[in-house]
Amino acid sequence: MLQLDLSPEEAEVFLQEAEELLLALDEGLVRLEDESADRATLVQEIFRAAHTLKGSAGMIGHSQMAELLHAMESLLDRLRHSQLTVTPAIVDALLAGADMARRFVAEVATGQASGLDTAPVLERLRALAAGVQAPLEQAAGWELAPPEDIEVPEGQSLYEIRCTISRESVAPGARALQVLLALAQAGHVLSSRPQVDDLDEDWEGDRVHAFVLAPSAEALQKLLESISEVEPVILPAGGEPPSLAQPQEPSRGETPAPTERAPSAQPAAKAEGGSPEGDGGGTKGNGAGKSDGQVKWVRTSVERLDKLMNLVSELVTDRNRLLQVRANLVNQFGEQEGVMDLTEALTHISSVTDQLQDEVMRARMVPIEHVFNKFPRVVRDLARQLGKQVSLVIEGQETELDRTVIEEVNDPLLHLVRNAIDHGLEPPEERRLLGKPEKGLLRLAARSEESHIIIEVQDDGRGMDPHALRQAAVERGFLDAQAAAQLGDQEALELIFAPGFSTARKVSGVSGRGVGMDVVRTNIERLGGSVSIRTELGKGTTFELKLPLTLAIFPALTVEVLGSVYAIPLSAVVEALQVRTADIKTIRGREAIVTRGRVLPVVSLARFFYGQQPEDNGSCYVVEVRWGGTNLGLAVQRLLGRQEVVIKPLGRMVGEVPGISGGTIMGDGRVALIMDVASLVRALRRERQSPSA
Amino acid sequence: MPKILIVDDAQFMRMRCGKLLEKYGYEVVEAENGRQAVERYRECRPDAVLMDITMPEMDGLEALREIRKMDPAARVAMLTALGQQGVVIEAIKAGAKDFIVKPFEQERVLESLRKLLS
Repeated sequence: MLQLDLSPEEAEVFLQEAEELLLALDEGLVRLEDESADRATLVQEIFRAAHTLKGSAGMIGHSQMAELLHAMESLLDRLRHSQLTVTPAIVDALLAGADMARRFVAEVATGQASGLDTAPVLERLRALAAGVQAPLEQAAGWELAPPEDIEVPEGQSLYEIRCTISRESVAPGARALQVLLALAQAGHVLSSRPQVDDLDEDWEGDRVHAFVLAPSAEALQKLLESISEVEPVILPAGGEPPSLAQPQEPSRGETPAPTERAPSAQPAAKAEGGSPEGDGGGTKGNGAGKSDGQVKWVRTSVERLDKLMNLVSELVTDRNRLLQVRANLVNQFGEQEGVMDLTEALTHISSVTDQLQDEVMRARMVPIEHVFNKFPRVVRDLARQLGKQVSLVIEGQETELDRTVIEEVNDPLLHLVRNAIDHGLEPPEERRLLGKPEKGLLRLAARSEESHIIIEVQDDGRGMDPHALRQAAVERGFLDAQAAAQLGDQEALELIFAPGFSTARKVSGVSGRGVGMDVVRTNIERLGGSVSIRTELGKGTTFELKLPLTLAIFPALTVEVLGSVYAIPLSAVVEALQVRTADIKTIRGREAIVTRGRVLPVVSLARFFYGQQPEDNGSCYVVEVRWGGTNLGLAVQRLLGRQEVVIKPLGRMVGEVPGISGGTIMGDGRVALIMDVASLVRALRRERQSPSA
Repeated sequence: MPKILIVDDAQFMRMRCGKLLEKYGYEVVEAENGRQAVERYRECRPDAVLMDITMPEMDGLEALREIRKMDPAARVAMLTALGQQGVVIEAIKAGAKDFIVKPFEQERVLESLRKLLS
């Protein structure tokens, strides 16, 4: 049992924040290996993440974790001060540290000590850090705390001074001394780092941080300007409000928001120093200015949001019920006064419910960044493991999705990315021979399209060969030669989604044994989404995932089949037609209609679900649906209308029914079954392919 | 026309530096060691002094102290080589206003003088 100083509520916050910090660490470290990256900024961000996590770990009394992060932080500090340059060994060691930190965070979540041995990782980190001389204390950031309880005399003001000494200077200590002497001349130095006595032959700092009482900033400015190789920034500290508030993260305190003079080179902002926290503490007015116009955030638990969503769902169901009741009353009593009052109130409730639903949905939306963020690390590791070179491009990470969808989409994406690196992208030698850049491209992109989100996983690798897939299907006994030959190219590509079908020539430890793709499709379709493939031999493959914005409530077309109500998700509906039953022709043993000059296969839902033909009264409706490249007409007796449906699982007693994904309660209290177009299409396809049907 | 005292034991340095300053309209006085520098300062009260540190007879630091004793408003910039931070710190404590590292760039010398004289 792990003994930690942490209440359950605190634990929630700690874990959430730790997760974010670990992600920042991972992501930052991976990007650090990219030579074109802005490393100074990256190192600063990574350092900040490690530092913050260390602080939290220390706070809860997890000393092992704090010690580990401290070692990481020390190494990062050397990078930060350019005492070391980034090498793969350093990144590896830091990633190993981050991995271990992740396991410690898991310990906090479970409350169980995992008995991890940090010694080897600590040793690596420390050995790498020891590759340079110990940092000088003066090399730290703007960490000097503002003086407290200072009485500012009449006619004087408190100023924070941040002077950056040029790296070119061969005697920075002398410059620092000049600064301190100038400050003493112009005013009263309350505190400074360094102090005069710190300055000696060996001082190698690059900044002077001080708090000074002086009559005016101009006096300070004039004297500091006369010192060579020094960039001064003078900030009013406390008291006066800043003249200009900058919408910056509060932690980026080193940005000189309210300066008396805008220094041409913005030395303080550029300086690589700056402690992760509290360094901006010197400028109280600064902080006050920032809070204006900022969005105020409240963290809330996912469970609470889920509960809210459920309540809203109930409300939507009740609202629909009330609308039905009103309609009945109107039928019965006409437009009497009482009924009209009810109508008016209902109209308002309806609109409020809609807005509420909208807001709750929005509150549950999370940028897909949360999923994408993990991929730089995953891709790096996989590429290393498989000897591939991959450049990962991420687009549209700000696209928002319902968090339940986000959670579900992670594994399928991971699988597609693995496959792309393992099977899609060629090894560097092969790519060179093919005249392709050695670094393969892997693109992860998200965008929203109407009520859907499209996620693409694209590689510029081998591409897939429909012919090879047909052959493989025959060799593995999935199809006979004749059936295989009849498959169109697109259908042949779809073979990879068949359970147990694998096209991998060699089974690698990474991509598994081809059990993946059918699971990917099943998972995505369970979400009400679809997967499609575009591929060009030698050019690459793109998998496109189409996902609904949310799972809980969606618009559906309600129809009647033999007296029962079915809801067809509107996202799958192309159009609904009224046809004469005589127009439904039987072509090669299957029913179809001709509409807009093409043949549309038609399935009677009465026959599919009940195995009986409805009474023929001369006409019926055909709802055209589209799924995964297949269009299909569903013959029903009546169209009832469009309705927002709240999906309820059918429960274990009923189990999985082909063509049905769940149930919903209608406004009139009847239960409607929600059609799962994907599984319907697949069930029909199987029926068509198997010789017995 | 501002008058500048150049103090250096190396004649080449005095020459190079003198030429530069004259080109920019300064009047130049020279001294080749600390003792001479103190004498010259007394005689002609230059507007600013460029003072080498390591010199025979009397070094730059001592000369600086003497000059500041004579004229607390004396404006002196030290000429220094690498690795003399300790001495430079001493010089600044003793009242030097700036320091220039040898070998120096013209612009750096001119900038220092501008600041010294402002």
